[in-house]
Amino acid sequence: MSARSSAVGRRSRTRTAELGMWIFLASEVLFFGVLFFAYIMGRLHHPQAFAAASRHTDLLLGSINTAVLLTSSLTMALAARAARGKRWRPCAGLLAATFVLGLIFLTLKLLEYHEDFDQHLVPGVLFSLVSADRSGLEQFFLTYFVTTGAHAVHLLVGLGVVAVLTVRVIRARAQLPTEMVEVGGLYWHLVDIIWIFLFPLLYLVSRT
Amino acid sequence: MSRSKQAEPRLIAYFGVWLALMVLLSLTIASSFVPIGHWNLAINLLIAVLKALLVAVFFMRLRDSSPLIRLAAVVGIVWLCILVGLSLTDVLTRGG
Repeated sequence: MSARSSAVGRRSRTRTAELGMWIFLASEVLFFGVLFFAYIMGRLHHPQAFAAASRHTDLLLGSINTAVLLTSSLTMALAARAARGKRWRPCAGLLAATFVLGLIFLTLKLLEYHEDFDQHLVPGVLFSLVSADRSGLEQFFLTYFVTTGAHAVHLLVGLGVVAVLTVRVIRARAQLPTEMVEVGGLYWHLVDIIWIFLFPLLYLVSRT
Repeated sequence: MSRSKQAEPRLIAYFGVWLALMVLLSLTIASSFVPIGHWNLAINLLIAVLKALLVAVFFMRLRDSSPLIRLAAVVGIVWLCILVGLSLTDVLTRGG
């Protein structure tokens, strides 16, 4: 009887933790929504400049990074599945894989930023692109750096979460509540979804 | 409650979703090189929404979540649409 009631308690706690994370994610959607709105305003007012500026982003690195992040969502979902089945060894391995993929994403993003700095694509006095609508070009890259920067910070937080989960799964195993992997995974997937929208809006404005 | 009764999705299903995501990524990149004007934006956004839905429904398990969790998942998007929509009614209808 007591075992059964504790099982019920655990189940409802799982749902509470998941619900809490979803509500937090809704607030994150609104946070990024403001940045997306800034993008919409810029693109409405400077359509040609946004198209021209977008061609200066690195499509190859951006595409590879999108594939890397989508794959990290797969390993994260598989890690949560392993945790639900109490298969802790594969769970730890999949979490570690997610961490490595996230690290690859951030490394490539930093390489790309380095490239952008070298080509003087940072808005300001040294901004190198010339056109009749220079402020439109600068606005695109301002939006680019702010949105991808905010995304990178979120990914960094995600890396911290995944690292802690990996260590705890290796150390604690049976004592670890499975919903921890589940809830951490929800956050990771949201960061992936934000990138799913950033990628076409920043890299694919005009490639024809 | 309903989740505990439901069987865990098969492993192959996860790889199927991943494959679909990769195909959609290739499609969105390839379609960008076809000159079809505003349709490029429409296709890119449609594919982004499809990819986000795949991640949310399968990887984030909205497929077998309780109605309460599904409600929490859509509420942020709904509010965002209201805020952006109402703001755009101003921006898009200003003369000159």
